Amino acid sequence: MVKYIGKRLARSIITLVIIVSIVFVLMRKMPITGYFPNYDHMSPEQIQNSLHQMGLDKPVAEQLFIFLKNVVTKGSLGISYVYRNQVPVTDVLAPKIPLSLKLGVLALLVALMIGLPLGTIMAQHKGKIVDKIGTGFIVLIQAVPAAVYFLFIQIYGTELLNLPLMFKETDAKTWILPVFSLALPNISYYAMWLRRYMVDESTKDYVKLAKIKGFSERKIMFKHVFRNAFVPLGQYLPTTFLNTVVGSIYIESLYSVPGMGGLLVDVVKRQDNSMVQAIVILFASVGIIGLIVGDIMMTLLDPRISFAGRKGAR
Amino acid sequence: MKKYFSLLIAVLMISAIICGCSQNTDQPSNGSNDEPVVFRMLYDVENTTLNYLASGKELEHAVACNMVDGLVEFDNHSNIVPAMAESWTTSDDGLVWTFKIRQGQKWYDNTGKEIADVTANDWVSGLKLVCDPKTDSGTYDQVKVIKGAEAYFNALAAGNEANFDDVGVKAIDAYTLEYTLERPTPYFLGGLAYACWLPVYGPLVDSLVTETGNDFGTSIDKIYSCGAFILTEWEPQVKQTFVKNTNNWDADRVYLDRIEKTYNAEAATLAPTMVLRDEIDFAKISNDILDDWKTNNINYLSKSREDAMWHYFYAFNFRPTYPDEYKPEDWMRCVMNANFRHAIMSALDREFVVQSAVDQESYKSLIQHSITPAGSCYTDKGVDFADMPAFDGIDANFYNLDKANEYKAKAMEELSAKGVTFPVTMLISYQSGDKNYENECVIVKQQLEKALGTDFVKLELWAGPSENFLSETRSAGKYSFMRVRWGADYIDPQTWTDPFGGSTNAETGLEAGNTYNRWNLILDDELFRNNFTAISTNSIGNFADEFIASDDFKEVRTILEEYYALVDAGIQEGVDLTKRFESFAKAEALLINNALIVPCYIGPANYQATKLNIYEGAYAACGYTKLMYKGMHLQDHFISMEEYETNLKDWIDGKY
Amino acid sequence: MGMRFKNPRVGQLENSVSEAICTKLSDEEAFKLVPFDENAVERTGYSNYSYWRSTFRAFRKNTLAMALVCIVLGILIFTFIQPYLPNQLDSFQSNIDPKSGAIFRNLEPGTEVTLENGKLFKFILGTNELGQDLWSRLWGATRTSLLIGVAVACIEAIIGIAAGVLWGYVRQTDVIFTELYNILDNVPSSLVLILVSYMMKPSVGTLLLAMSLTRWIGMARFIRNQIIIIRDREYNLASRCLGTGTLTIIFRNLLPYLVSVIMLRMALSIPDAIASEVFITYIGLGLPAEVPSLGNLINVGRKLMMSPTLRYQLIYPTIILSIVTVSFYVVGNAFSDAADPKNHIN
Repeated sequence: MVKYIGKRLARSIITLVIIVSIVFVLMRKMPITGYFPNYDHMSPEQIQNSLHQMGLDKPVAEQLFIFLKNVVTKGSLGISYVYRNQVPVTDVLAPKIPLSLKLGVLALLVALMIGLPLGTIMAQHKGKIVDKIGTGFIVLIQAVPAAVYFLFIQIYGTELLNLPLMFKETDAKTWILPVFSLALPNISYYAMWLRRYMVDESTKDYVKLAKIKGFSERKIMFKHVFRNAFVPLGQYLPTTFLNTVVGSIYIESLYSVPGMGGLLVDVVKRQDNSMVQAIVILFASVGIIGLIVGDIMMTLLDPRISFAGRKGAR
Repeated sequence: MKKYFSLLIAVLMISAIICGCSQNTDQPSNGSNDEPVVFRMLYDVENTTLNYLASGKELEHAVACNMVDGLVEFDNHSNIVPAMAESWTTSDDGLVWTFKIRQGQKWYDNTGKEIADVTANDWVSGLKLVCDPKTDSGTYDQVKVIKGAEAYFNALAAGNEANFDDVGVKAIDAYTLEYTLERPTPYFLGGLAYACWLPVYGPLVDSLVTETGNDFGTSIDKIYSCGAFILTEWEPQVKQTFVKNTNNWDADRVYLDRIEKTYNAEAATLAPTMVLRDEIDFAKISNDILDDWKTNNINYLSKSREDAMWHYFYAFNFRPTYPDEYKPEDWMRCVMNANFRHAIMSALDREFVVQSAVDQESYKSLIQHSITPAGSCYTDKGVDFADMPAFDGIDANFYNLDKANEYKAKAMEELSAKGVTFPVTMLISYQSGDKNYENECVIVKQQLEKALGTDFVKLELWAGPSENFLSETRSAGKYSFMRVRWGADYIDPQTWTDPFGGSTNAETGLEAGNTYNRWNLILDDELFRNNFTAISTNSIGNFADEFIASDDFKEVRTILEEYYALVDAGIQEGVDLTKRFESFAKAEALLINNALIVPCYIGPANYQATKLNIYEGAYAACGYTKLMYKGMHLQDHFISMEEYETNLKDWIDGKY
Repeated sequence: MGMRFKNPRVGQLENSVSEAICTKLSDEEAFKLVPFDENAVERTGYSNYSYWRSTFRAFRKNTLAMALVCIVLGILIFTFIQPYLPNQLDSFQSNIDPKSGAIFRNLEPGTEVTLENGKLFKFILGTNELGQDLWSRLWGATRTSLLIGVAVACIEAIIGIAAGVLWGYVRQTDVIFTELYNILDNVPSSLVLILVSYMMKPSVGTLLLAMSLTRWIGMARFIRNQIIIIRDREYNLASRCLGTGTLTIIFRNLLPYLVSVIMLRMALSIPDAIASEVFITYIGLGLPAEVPSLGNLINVGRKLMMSPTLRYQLIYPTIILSIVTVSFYVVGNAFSDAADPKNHIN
C-alpha cells in the first residue's frame, strides 16, 4: 500500500509538471496585452523592452524552466501585471485562499451532515412520504437554476433571518447563508446518488441473505448497504470540494466574499496571464492530490478493488 | 443516531472555531448625536490604479477628486472658486499664471499619519510625472498647453535627454506656483479642475521609480491624500474607505465623516434591494427595473443631473480589423462613399433609438445636432456654441426616410459598380454586461435594417469583452459602426476635437491620443499602407493601394484635411472667443454635413435612490467635479421625486 | 413528486422468480402421457428474453415517466414548429405601438394590443423592456438550450463510454487515461468553460466545445470505476475462464449492467449543460443578444426578481427550465430502473 501511494505520488508530480507545461504554453499563445495594463499607449519598442525585462522574449522552454525553478526554490508563482500592477501572485492569493478554504470546508461538512442522512433516510423509506419530500427537495435544487435560487435565498433568507445582505468575515451570522447556499447543490448531489446506490445495493443477494438470516433492517442498511453505496461517492469527495471552491462564483459575487471563485473570473476577464496561469496550476495541484486521496479512500472502503497490481488479474 | 448527533456537534464546533477565530469586533452603534455620518454604497467596477496622474478614466478620477484637492474647483453653480490656491493673477498677455497656495495643508498616508506640508513643489512634481512618457498618462494631452511640455515629452519618448526646468512650471517659493503657457488658452483656469493638474508629493513619487515606470498609486500605501477625504482603505474588489480630513481648508463644508464603498459584482441587482432595507444610501435604478420602482417605490426615487459632459455619438470605422468573414473590405469601400454614409445617417431614427433604449421620458431634450453639446460652451457674448451660424440647416442631415432611400439607391449603384456585394455587413459592437448599451445596439440594428432594408445592410451584433472593452473594439478597430462617447475635460469646444485628434507615429506605430475613427491613417499614404501590411488581421491589406487611388478615398482625405486645419485655427485663436468658436463650429459642421460623425445624445438624468441632495454638490459639465462628495448633506431619508423637484427649484433660485 | 422504484421485497422476488421458472399447470396436464415427438428431441434450450424489449416493457409501466417523456418530446417538437404556427412574432424584433411610435415596453402577460400591421395581437407572456415578444423568445430560447443540452449529452456519452470501457477493462491504458484524467479533470470544468468561452467568439459551437472538452472524462471515469468494481466479479472471472473474448465480455456482461447509470448520467447531463449555459451567460461570456437562450432570458430576468410587476419575465423561463430538468431527471431515473437487468426478472 505504502509503495503504491509512493508510486502514485511520484507519478502525480509528473502529471503536475505536464499540466503546468500545457497551461504555460497555452498562456504564451494568449495575447500579450495580458502583461500590460496600458497596452494601448505603448510603442512596439516599449513593449519589446518590457517583455525583455519580464523575460517573456526567451524561448518558452527556458521560461518554463525558470518558472518551475522559481516555484520550487522561491515558492513564487510569478507577478501580476494587470489585475494588480507589479504585485507577486502569491501576495494576491494569500488572503483569499484561507477564506475560500474555510467556506469550502464548512460547506462540504454541512453538505455531508445533511446530504448523507437525507439519502439514507430516503433509501430506507423509499416510496413513502419522507422519500417523496426529499425527492421533491432534490428535484427543486436540480431544476431551478443556481443563478436564481442563490439570489432568492440571499434576498429572502436575509429578510427572514434579519441578516445583512453582505458577507462580513468578522460577523459569524453573515456566514450562515453563503455556507448554506454553497452546500445546497452538494446536499442534493449526495442525497440523490446515495439514495440511488443504496436502493441498487439493497437488491443485491448478500442483502437478501442477511435479511433471511434475520439481521435487523437498520443494521443491514448501516453496516452493509451504506458502506457499499458510499464507495462510488467517497472518491468524489475531494473533487466535489474543489468544485465547490471554484464554483463559488455566484456566492462570492452575491455576498461580496473576497475569495478565489470571483478572482478566477476577474483575472480571466482582465486577461492577466500570470494570474490565470497561477490559479489554474494551483487548482490543478489541489485536484491531483484530491484524486489520490479519492483513490485511496476507494480502496480502503472497498477491499474488492485492487490497484496494487495483483498478479494473475488482467 | 447518537453517533450522528455527536458528529453534528463536532461539525458545529469546528464551524465555531473557524468562524470564531475572527469574532465580531464591531461595536453596535447607538443612536447618539455624535454618531459619525457614514455614507454607504456598493460599486461593481474596480479601479485598476490609484495613480490619478496616469489614469484617464472617470472611474479612477472619482477616487482622486475626493482625496486630493486641485488649485481651483467649481461650486454647485459651476463657478470657478479657489481651492488649494487662495488667489491667482495672470499676466496681460494671458500667458503667465501665478497661484498663491494655501498654507497649512498636509499630506496624509492611509493610516492618517501626517507626512508633509502641501507646497507649490507638489504641482511641479505632478506635471513632471504626467510629462514622463513612462507614466503613459491618459491625460497627457491636456498639459500640452504648458510651454515646453510637449517638447519635453517628445524628447524623452525618443530616448533623448531633456531638462524639466525648460517646462513652464515653477515653484517661485514654497507657496507660489507659476505656469507659463504655450499660447493664450481661454479655458485654462477652469481646466485646472482636472486630474492631470493635481499635485503629488514629490519624494513619494521619487522613491517609487522603477525601470519601467512608477509604482505610485499601485496600492494603498503608495499614495497620499490631501483633499476633503483621506483614502484609508483600498482593497481591490473588496472595498474603498474614505475618512474625512478634518484639517482640510474646506472641512467645514464636508458633511460626511466616512464613505464606505463595498465591491459587489452584482451591485446592479442588489443595491436597489439594499436601499429598501436601508443598508446602503445610494443605488442607481437602471432602466430594466425602473417601471417597477415607479409604481412600487416611488418615494425612494430621484434623479441625477442631466449630464451635458458626456456625448454619446455614432462613429464610422475607416479601417476595420475584424475577420474576413464579415467582409471588412466591402465595408471599407462603403464607408468611403458619401452616399452610403448619408444613407446610414439619414436612416438612423435617433429619437426612436434614444426613446427606446435610453430615456423614454425626456429623450427629445437629449438629442444633439453638434458634437459639442448644446448649452455647454458659450462665447463671451453669451452665444451657445451649438447655435453658431455654421450649424444652420444641419438638421437636414438627420432622420429622413425618403432621403435615406435616395442615398441608398445612389450608393448601391455606385458601390455595386465597384464590386461591393449587398447586403453589406455592419459590425456593431457593444460591451458585454452593459444591458443599456446592448439594448441600444439591438434597437439600432432593428431600426436601420427596417429603414434601409436587409438588401442593403445587415447589422451584426458583436459582444465585446466586459473588461478592456475599448481597447479590444474601438482602439483595435473591431467595429464598422459604433456608439462611442466622449466626456468634456474642460469647458471649451476644443475638448470635443480630442476624440478625433489622434495621430500615429509612422516609425513606431505608436498611437497618441484618441483615434476613434482611425482617420489618422487616411491622412498619410505610407501610414495607411504600413498599417495594413503590418498589423492586418484580415486581407484588406492587399487592397491598400487600390483604396488610396480611389476618388472616394481622396474625397474623405480632403474633408479631413480641411477639418484638422479648422481645428488648428481654432486652437491658435486664444483671444477672440467668437472667432475661436466659429472655427470649431465649422469644423464640426464639416464632419456632420459629410456624414462622418452622427451626433446622438447627451447623458440623461438617470434615476437613482440617494440620501444626498445632489444640488448641494459641486457641478460642472466637465471633468471630475460632479463626482466630489463635499458640500452634500446626508439626509435621514431617501430623496423623493417631489423633494428632488423642490431642490432643483431651490438650486435654480440660488438658495444654495 | 415521487420516484417510482421497484419494490424488491425478498418474498415477492422469490415468488416472481419461481413463477418465471415453473409454468403453473394442473395435475392432469402435468401428468399427461405425451407421445414420442422427433422435433421435441431436436429442440434445444431457448429463452425469449430480449434486453431492450424488457426494458421498454418495464419503462412503460412507469406512468409518470411516460407522461414526462411525452412532455419533453412535446416541448422539443413545439419549439421547432412554434415559429411556423400562425400568429407568431419574431423573437428578436421589438414591437412598436403604431399610435405613439414607442415600443411596447414591459407589457404584462395577456395584454392585447394593435400591432403596426393593424392586427390585434395578444402577448401571451408579455414583452420585455425592448418590446420583444416573450412568448416567441421563450420558445426560441428553449430550442437553443435543448439543442445544446442534447448535443453535449450525446458527445459526452459516446466519447465517455468508449474511453471508459477501454480505460477500465484494458489495464495497459490505465496509465494513459489516468494521466489524461488528471490533466483534464483537475482543471476545474468551470475554468475550462470560462477560458474557452473567453478565447473564442460567443456562439453555440463555442459553448458545445467548452462543455464537452472536459465532460466526457467524467463519464469515462465513472464507467471505468464501475467496470473495475464489476470486472473482477465472479461471473466475469468465470466468463474469462471459459475463454470468452474481451469485447464480448464488455458488450454482453458489462455494458448492459451499466446502461442504467449511463442513462441517468446522460439524462442529468442535459439539464447540467443548460445550467452551464446559464452560468456562462451570468459571467458575461454567453451567447450574443440575437440568439435567445434560457441563459439569456434568466440572466435578464433575475435582475427583476425583486420587482413584483416585472417578475413574470423571470418566472416563465425558470418554469420551462425546471420542467425540462425535472423531466430529464425523472425519465432518466425511471429508464435506469427499467434498464437494470436485475429488474427484468418479473
